[in-house]
Order: sequence, then C-alpha cells, then structure tokens
Amino acid sequence: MTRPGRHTRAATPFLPGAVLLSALLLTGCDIQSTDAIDAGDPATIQVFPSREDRTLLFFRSGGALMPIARPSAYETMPDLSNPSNPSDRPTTDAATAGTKTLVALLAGPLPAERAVGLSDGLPDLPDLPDLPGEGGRDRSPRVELTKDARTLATLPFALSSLDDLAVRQVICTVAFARDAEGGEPVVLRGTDGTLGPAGCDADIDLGVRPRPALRPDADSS
Amino acid sequence: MKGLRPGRPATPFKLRTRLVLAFLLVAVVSAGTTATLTFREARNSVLRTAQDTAVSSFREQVQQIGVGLPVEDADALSEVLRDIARKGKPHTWIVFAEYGTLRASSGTSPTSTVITPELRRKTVGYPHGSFERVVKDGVPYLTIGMPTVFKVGVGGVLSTGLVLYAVMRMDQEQTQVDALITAARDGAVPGLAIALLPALLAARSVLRPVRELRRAARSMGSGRFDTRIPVRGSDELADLARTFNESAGEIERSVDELQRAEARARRFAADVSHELRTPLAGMLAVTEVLDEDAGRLDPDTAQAVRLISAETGKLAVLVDDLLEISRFDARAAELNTDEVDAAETIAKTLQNRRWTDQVRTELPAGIRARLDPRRFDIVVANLVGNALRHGGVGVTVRLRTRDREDGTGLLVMEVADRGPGIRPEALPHIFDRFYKAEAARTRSTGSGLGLAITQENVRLHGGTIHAANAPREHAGDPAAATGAVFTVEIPLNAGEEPA
Repeated sequence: MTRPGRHTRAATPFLPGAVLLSALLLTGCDIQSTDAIDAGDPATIQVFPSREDRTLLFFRSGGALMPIARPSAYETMPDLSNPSNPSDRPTTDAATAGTKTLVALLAGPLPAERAVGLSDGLPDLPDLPDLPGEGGRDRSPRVELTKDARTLATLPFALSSLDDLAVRQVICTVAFARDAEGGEPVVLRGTDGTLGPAGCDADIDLGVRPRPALRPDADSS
Repeated sequence: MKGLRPGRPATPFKLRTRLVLAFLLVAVVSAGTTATLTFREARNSVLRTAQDTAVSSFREQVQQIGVGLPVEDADALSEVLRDIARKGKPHTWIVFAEYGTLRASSGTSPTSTVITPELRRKTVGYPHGSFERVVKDGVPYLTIGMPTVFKVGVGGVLSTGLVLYAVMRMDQEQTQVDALITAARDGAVPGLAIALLPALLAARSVLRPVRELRRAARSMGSGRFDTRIPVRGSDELADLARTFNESAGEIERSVDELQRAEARARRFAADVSHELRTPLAGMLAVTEVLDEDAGRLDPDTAQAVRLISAETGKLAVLVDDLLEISRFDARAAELNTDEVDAAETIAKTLQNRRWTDQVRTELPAGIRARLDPRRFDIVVANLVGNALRHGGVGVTVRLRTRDREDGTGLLVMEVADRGPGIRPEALPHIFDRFYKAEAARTRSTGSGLGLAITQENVRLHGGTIHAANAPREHAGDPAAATGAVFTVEIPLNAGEEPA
C-alpha cells in the first residue's frame, strides 16, 4: 500500500524537469517566422536619363512622393538660349528653366505616367498660360530669384488648398530645377500668401513626412 | 522484528533508484541544456548566414539595374527581375517589383502570397532594406524587401519609388537544422547511458555501509552486543559507523553491568537461602523435640515453644520457596517429563497431602500427558492448598482437555473454591511475589511465593495460568455463587517442546 505511494512521491520531482526539458527540446526545432527586421541600406540604382540630361518632376502615388525623370532636352528644346550645363546657366536661365519645370508639374502626369498610378495632387488649371516672358502677368506660374538670391515660386492658386504632400511636390520640383541636389530653400507665393522658405530634404525620400516649418503668410502682395 | 520484514526488500531499491534518477536527471539537464543551446546557436548561425548572404547579394544584384522614371514597361521590368532571380544566392529567388500601381515578377504571378503586409509597410515607409522569415504551409521562406534610390548631386540620394522583393524558400536550411537536431540527440543519449555507470557506483558505495549497518543493528537487536562495523574512509557514513560502534560499546558495557548486578543479586538470594537452610534444619530438629515435650512444661512456656516451632516451620518453607524461585531466576530449573495419566497424578497428590476427604474431584481417567510429575505435583498442591486455606470448604478440582486454535491439545485443570473470591483490583497481582490479596492474610501460613512458584512451573511446561472469580451459573446451589477459580492450561505434549 505504501510502496506505490512512495514511488509516485519520489517520481514527482523529476516530472517538472522532464517536462521542462522536453518542452525546451521541442520548441524551436523548426525554423520560426520572425518580424520584419532591418537589413541595411536600400539599393542604389541607375536612373535614365542621366543627371545632366533630365528634369525631375515630383508626382505622387499612394501617398508617396514619386520623382519622374524627363529628358531635359525635350523641355529645353523650345528655349533659344539652351545651356549645355545647368550648373553654369545664367540666373535668368535658371529661373526660366525653373518656370518651365513648374509649368510642366502643373500640367500633370503624361498619360503613360498616369497609367502606372501617378497623379499630381495639385489643382487643375482651367487655362494653363503659355510660357510667360519677362515680367509676365501676376497670376501666371513662374520661378524667379529674389534680390537676396532666394528662389521664389509663384503659383496661380491659393496655397491653403494644397496638402502637405502637394507643397513638397512643388518645393522639390522647383529646388531640383535650381540645382542638382535640390538643397536650396524655396519660397512659395500663392494667391493667399507665401510659404517658406523650405528645402526639399533630398535624403528624406518619401513624401509621407509633413513639410517642415511652413506657415501661410498673408501679408505679401 | 518479523513485522518489519515485508517492507525490507524495497529499501535498497528505493535509495538506489533515487540516486540513479538524480544522476540521470543531472545528466539529462546538463546534456539537454548543452545540446539545446549548441543547437540553437548553430541553427541561428545557419539562418543568419543564409539571410545575410541573401540580403547582401540581393542588394548587389538590384544595384546592377537601371530604370527610367517612371517605370512604365512591366514586361521589360519582368525581364530584369528574371535576370536577378537567376543570380539568387544562396538559392534562387522569386523577385517581385512594385512601382505605383505597376506589379511585376520573375515568376508567373505578378504578386506574392508570402510577402506580409508588415514587410511591405516597413519597406515602403522606411529607407532601409528589411527581411522577414515567414512560415507558410509548413515551408519556411525568407522574404526581403529592398527599396531603391538613385543619386542626385554629390552624395544625395532620392527614392525612386520602385521597391523590389525577393522570396526564397529555406528548405535547405530546414534540412541543415534537422541534421543539427539529429546530431544533438545522438550526442545527448549516449551521455545519459554513460551517466548510469557513476550513478550505480555511487549508489553502491552508499548502500554497502547502509546494508552493513542494518545487519549490525539487527544482530544487536538479537542480543549480540559485541557486533561492530568496519569503518572505512572518513565520510559521513564512516562517521555513522564509528558512532554506531561507540554506541554499541556503551550498550554492551551497560548490559554487562546490569547482567552482572542481577546475577550478583540472584546469587546472593540463593546463597542466603542456602546458608539459612543448615541452621534451620538443626532448629527444626530441636523444635520437634521441644514440641513433643511441650505438654510437660507450664502453659505459658508451652505456648511460646509451640509458637517458635510453628514459625520455624514457616521459615523453613519460605527458605525452600526462595531457593526454588532463585533456581527459576537463574534459569537452572529443568523439566524432567514423563508420560503420565493426569488424573492419577492429581489423585496421588491429594492422597499424599491427605486432602482426599476435603476436595471434590472430577477427574476423567485416560488423559495422558507429558509432564514433569514433581513440578505438576507442586502446581496441584499449591493451588489446592491455597484454595483450602482461603476458600474454605467446597474445593473442586476438575480435569479436561481442549484444543487450541492451532490444533494443539491442551490439558485444562481447574481448581475452584466457594470462598469469598478475589477482589477485582487484586486479580492482576495475584501471581506477584509476596503479594497478599488481603491485608488480613498477612499472618497466613503461606510464604507469599506459592502462586509465583506455581506460575513459573506452569510456564516451564509451556502453559498458562490465570485466576478468576467463578461465574454464577457454576455449581448448582446459590450459596456457592462466588469463589475463586484458578485455571491451568498445559500442552499435552509439553515435554516435546523445548522449554
């Protein structure tokens, strides 16, 4: 009578150990799934056309900023004073190139670009004016350099109608038209005031970030 | 001592089992832990190597490509992806690409079912490559998400919006992990088998002294106080053995002393009795002469002489009884059995004492028993004499036989009287030496040793004696309702059993 009882009592201390051990052995024998884990830098790839021959426009897709590289030649061909190198263009030319790029942005994506899900997210302009000359009408979109060497982009609509991503689209497009790295700050002027100055932050690639330090300023003329 | 035996065989097994189990547990835990930790480390290393190789070579392959922005041609992109997939390391990949709403892959389906929303979210919203291990339908996959950037200016990069994913099956890694499990098991199991050996050795080294100790303790219990245990080594068990030996020595000394003291006391009683007998014999001879001449003395002197004579007789009986008792105490009493007719023996005793007229007998003839006639005579004489002295008239001696539970035949002799009986509180002590059942009996003729000697004689025959008061239905007339009954039970073949 006592013997079976003692046996079970003697055996009990070993049970948890055995259970623990077998549990230890059984778990994690197979390959387990994991969370998504960081694995280094993104891949740097080539984009055609190459840096000198392209104009970058910034559209959007699914809430992300999408750069589009169009051949510069196509944009600059109608311009009579065609510079071979954007970096040593005269200031007037830089402004002209900026204006053309801005107009191209406002014109929206081409059909092929729309086909892969790109959109501009900017107000549709009923009558997009032709390329304006020097001292064009006040409402026409244009890019010019102010006296203190700032880049000023004039837009034919109210800035308050733009969302953050749209503001960044415009700033980045204008900034990258000004120089290759898009590092220069840009001031936006709309029908309801000015924004900026603000940079594009080229290294911060994706447009989900809200724009930094931009406030509508209604006092300018 | 015999009652302990059933539990005994389990004892060495239990300790041994416990020791062996403890050893095995330690071995299992250590071997299992080592094997498990080693296995985990090895498995992680296998997986890490595969993952690192896959991620870095995927990045390398992706960096070879060039695209126009926007990416418009899904077919051309698929061609590029197939190119990458073919160069997959360590195993071929299936490569998927996402750009805007464009989807392309190196396989048949443009989208993957393995890539989780979590990885996609992380890859799209974050300028870093990521990987995630996914187990789908029991097959482990490695999925890598790789966003692409392009250079702008000096050192600046800009996301292209094109994200590439690689999906790689990890079957081969699974095979390697399985091989690791087998290796771990094959390493651990022989380890357990080897651990059995020291376990058994340790159990043996513990159990042997324990067994010796048990044997010694039992030997001590059966009276051999000179038992000692060999002391080996200097561990706790050796200490235990040493303590046992010391205790055994103490016990032996104490027991020796007690035995010597007891023997001295008995010898003294025997010597005293013996020494008293010689002068008593002379005194008895003198008092007999004085008794005969008492008639011629003046009455006062005659009374004194008769008193001296009577007391001297009592003293002689007492000394004889003391001698007899001391022989029992010294275990010097011997049983000289003879096959006799019990009824005849009892009748002869009564006749010799001239009690035949005063005692009623129910003695069926033909009951043969092996008895020591002299000692049985003492038993009968003491009981009947006691009954006559205290119970007065109506003493009855009955003889019969009955069978004990185990089938042994018993000779049963009852001596009953019609006296006042024995007080209940006196019953347990009635056979004690010098115990007087009644204060009034202090001056009775008995030595106070009669019943004690009777009991010793009955015991020597292997029998029992007990005293009781007679039940009421016994004896026909109501006047004899009470009275003491002494019942002696002796095996019929008492002499054949070693006393």
